[in-house]
Amino acid sequence: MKILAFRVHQAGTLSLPDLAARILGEPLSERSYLGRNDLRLENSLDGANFLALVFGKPRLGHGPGQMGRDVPLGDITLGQGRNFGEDTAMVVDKASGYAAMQYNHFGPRARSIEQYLSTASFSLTDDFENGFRIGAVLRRDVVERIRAMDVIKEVDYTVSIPGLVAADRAAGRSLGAAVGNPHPEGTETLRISYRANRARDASLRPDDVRSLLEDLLPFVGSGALRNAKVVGRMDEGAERETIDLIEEQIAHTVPILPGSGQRLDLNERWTALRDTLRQWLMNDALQG
Amino acid sequence: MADERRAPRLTSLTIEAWFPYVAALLLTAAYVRFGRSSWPKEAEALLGASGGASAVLIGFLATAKAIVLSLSGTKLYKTLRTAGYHEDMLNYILSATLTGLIFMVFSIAGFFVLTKDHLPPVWYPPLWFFLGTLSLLLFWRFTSILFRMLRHV
Repeated sequence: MKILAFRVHQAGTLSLPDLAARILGEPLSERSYLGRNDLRLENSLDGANFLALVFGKPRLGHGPGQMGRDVPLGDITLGQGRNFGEDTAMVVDKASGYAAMQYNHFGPRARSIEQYLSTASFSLTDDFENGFRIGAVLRRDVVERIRAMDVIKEVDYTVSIPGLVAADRAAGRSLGAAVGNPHPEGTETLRISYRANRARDASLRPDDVRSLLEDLLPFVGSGALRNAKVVGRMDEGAERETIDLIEEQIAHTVPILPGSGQRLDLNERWTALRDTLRQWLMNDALQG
Repeated sequence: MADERRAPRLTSLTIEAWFPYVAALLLTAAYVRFGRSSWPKEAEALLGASGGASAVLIGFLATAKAIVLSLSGTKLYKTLRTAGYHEDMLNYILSATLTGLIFMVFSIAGFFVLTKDHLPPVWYPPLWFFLGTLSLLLFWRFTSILFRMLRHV
């Protein structure tokens, strides 16, 4: 299981443990604040130091089948009103907000979890000041290395622009404004590339690049930012260096074997996430 | 948790939902307060024109509803549905159609209620004005949204 490092920033006065408790007080069918077929908080465990969460999302469209070594691939029969589901587990250190999140390719990602938590918080409290932001935590030296670059030749990034979500309506955006958006249904990808001219010492303005990167960093690890690279040199005589922000997110892999249902046991996942987060905090691997 | 509940925010969605009603009330108040022309003694032409105009609006709204249904398979419509906006759209069509219908019936009823020799009841002209203004504003609200949707199709 791959584990990624994030930090949860709280806006407003509603804390994440309080929000989780309030959501869990609602019936399962009422917890999908982003829309009927969207993700929800399945369960949480509020400990002394850590808050463990698990988010589930129905997997719609073409689903998996079952197969055996000498059994052809066939359907998995689902019960009435059931869908395939994908889940993402997460453990948050309550004191610092640092979090370890399971990477599930098909499951909820950081950006959608962030939207969910924010929408849930102002849906449950009617207070638009409440919300959360989840930003990836990069290796400590990444930002320093970019700052230290004397010549920045290129910044290249690719984003997927999400379409309208229930959070837009919950935030009070009008229907006219929603359909007036240039891409209300979202776009697959949008690639933007800033390049300095061809002269050897030509550079993009460092302040502009740093400002841009500050805007991009919250989206690293969220799934919305597909690619983000900075190309530059530390000084005039140095070789050109490429820093890939996506690859620089702090990550760790732990071996967990799937159980009989071909799923990773939730308690094992939470334990692995908590232990990894504890290790990162003890080693001061996460930026302060 | 916040110590006090904050006052509900005036969002663009709230404004969009209520502005036709508020605007129609304000315009009617202005008509009552400042309007100089009195209700015509022979009002058949006015009532006929207003009934006919509202019938045209209702006809267009019925066509627009069919256009919206034809868009139901598009990615944009599915996005709006997932985001929870399709209920708003249906409410906008319904309110525009219903108000147009009420205005049409009110105008037609005027043929039978109002007589040439007597002034209309004091409530009739302001109510006629309010319903006419409201049906126009509701019609404009929905069609402006529809044409923005069509740009994406």
